[in-house]
Amino acid sequence: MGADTSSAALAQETRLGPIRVRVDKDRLAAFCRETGFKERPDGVAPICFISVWLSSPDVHSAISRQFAAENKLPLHESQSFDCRLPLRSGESYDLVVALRHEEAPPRVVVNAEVSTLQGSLCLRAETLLRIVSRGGLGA
Amino acid sequence: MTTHGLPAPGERLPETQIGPFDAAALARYADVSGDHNPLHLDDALARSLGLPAPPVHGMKLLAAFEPMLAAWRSDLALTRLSGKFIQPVFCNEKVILSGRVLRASRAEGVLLRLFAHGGARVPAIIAEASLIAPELRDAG
Repeated sequence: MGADTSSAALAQETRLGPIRVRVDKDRLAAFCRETGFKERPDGVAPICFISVWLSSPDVHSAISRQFAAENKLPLHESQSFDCRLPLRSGESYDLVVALRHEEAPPRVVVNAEVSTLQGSLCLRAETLLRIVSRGGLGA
Repeated sequence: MTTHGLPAPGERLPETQIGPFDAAALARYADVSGDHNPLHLDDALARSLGLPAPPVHGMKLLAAFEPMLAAWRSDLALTRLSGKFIQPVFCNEKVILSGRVLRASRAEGVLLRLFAHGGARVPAIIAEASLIAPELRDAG
């Protein structure tokens, strides 16, 4: 995988991936435990499980570059998940992420797609992060 | 009352209480999810920003709708979930999840409006979910 993080790209859109990801059985169990989801015998993961991949070091560092230098914090403004095919325990997928920085209001838009290794789209997610000053919320 | 096995518009989901979540619960969620935003974990930072306590991760709250929906209608598959984070829920606040059916049809599935309320009068999350019979989703 590679991140196009040139200054020109950061002003427009940063794309990551495809990143090979896997629904790890133990992590799925822990995620289910912490979100109240009853693990299913067919291994189908909750629709929100993709969020653990969006917090992975590769993706998180790319998001952080959008605001960390300015001593800012991200606030989760909205989130959506659109599932075409369920993710299953033990299966591997390809994750592609696009980051876009908006100025007014200052925020980062994260669009992610998860596909099977054969290329079938499983899930789309969109995350809006409002960027606020550490000096005060909304400042 | 259902039509063709589907809920009727206006039907309300049973309210579900989750939490309260203490600092240890937020730390566990941070470890599992990878979301170590210090705002959720650092009491001093939260207070320096004018908050009474660290807010619970919005994603942890949004994710809690899925088990509520599964408990209500395990025969339907969740295909879409979206939410706006309106108001923070703080550490040690209980949360009430509620919802009602907006539309339901065999072809388009079930559309729901969902709410999460913490200690504030204003909802913490206003969300929507779409459910569909699994065979329709898998037929693509």
